[in-house]
Amino acid sequence: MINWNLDYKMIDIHTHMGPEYPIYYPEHDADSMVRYMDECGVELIVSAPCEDLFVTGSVRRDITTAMRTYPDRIKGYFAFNPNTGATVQEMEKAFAENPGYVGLKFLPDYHRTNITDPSYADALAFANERKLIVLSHTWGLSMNAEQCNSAEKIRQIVETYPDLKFIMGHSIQGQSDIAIKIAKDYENAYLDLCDTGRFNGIIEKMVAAVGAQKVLYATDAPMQGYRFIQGAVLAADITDAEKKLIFRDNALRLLNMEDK
Amino acid sequence: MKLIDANACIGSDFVKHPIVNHESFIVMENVKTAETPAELISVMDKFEIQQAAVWHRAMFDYDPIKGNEVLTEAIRGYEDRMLPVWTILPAISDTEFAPDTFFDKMKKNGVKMLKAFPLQNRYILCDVTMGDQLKAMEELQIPLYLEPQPDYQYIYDVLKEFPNLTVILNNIGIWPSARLIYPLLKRYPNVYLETGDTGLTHAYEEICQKFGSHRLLYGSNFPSNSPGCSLNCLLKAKISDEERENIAHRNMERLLGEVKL
Ligand SMILES: [Zn+2]
Repeated sequence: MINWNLDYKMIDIHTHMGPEYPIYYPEHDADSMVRYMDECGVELIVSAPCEDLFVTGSVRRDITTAMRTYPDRIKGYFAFNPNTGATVQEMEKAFAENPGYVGLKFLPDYHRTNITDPSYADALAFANERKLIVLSHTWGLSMNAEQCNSAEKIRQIVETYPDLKFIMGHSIQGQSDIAIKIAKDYENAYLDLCDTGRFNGIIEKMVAAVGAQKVLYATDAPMQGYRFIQGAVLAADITDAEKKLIFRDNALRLLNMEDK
Repeated sequence: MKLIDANACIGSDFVKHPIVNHESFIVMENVKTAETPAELISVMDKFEIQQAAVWHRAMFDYDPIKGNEVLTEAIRGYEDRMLPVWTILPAISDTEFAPDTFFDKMKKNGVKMLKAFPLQNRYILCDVTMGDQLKAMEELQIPLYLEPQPDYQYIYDVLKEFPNLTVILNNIGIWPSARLIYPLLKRYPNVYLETGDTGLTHAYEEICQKFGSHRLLYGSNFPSNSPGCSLNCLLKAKISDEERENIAHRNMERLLGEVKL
């Protein structure tokens, strides 16, 4: 019998905030998100709002306000768009002023720039030096039939920057078997269940190959609810202890919050 | 609660499994398939799913006619658990699908539902191509599963021509846009959504409130997805038990009861 209930709260390390062009999802502001987190048993999210990812000249108001309003519920990624860039000084200032920032967010595919492009180098060095999390979108083949964030490039990044914690958003969807290999080969590479976690059998495959300590619960909320991927993990043929690592403990470790 | 899965597939993948990802394009991935009905039954038992509408990978990867035969052969003896879904082709070329014989054949084989893959099989699902078949399906109230590939336009078009066709939208990708689905649910009372890819925030609550719980059919979209995904959403949605039962099995039972074969 599948146990559909947890006696602890989940942490989602891959979320966004605010509206985005492709779909209708009205409950996208911080207040609505926290309400839905309460409903679904999510204690904490790490978020990269769409205004920082898709608008030039963003002043990062959504995330900084959300992190101030809900310091125990919402942490943030500093979204880095290589087309507009951000200097190391800007990033230093943002991290100093906003203790809720835990890392950087990249969308190489959407920004149509290879993650190995020199325009990412300063940001990667910044994250590496400070041992930050980098959550990057990763796909084998991109929307534009490019390969901005495919497996061989991700391997290069995690090898070049061993001190940052690299979360492979969507686990290099389309090349997930290679993502699993990368997570096994590199201590600083993590698998992310956003979308990809629903594929039948993939959670068991990841846990068997790499161990549950490298697999992270992730949803893309508010573009997706919390329960869809939760259901895949709850139903997976892995132990309850492995489920807890995926839903919570791995995120706490990455966020240096193991005391929680 | 009784569960009927409105969308499960048996048969292993020819190469890899094509999955509609969250940006609505196809990614090829290795998923754990159910090669045989017995394997699917063990998945159904794990999730306490009593019955499943089942199609076979060969209907898509190989050939609809051969694939329909493969399915029929495979599920013999499992009729109490598996509700077969066949694939249709235009009778103008493939005469096996002519209305005067095909629907009798469906009846003889206990088949009450159909799928069409016009993009894969290279035809246009419309009056010009197969009007007599679509007219007969309207009259016989045979549910037709349609996937929005490459997009929703053909579904909008065929419903304009055959507004009484019973259509089950399925395999829609996990960022299914209300902008594409709600208009169909509003205009056509005979359009249904199979929930295998549905996990958006409060999607079940909103659809039940706007269009009624009778428009959703619980489905797994197995093996693209673990059946746990949509089931967890259905079990925990803030809807009434009555609405949950409708989605879980009653709507599918009603649809099957309405088929006039
Ligand atoms: Zn994302």
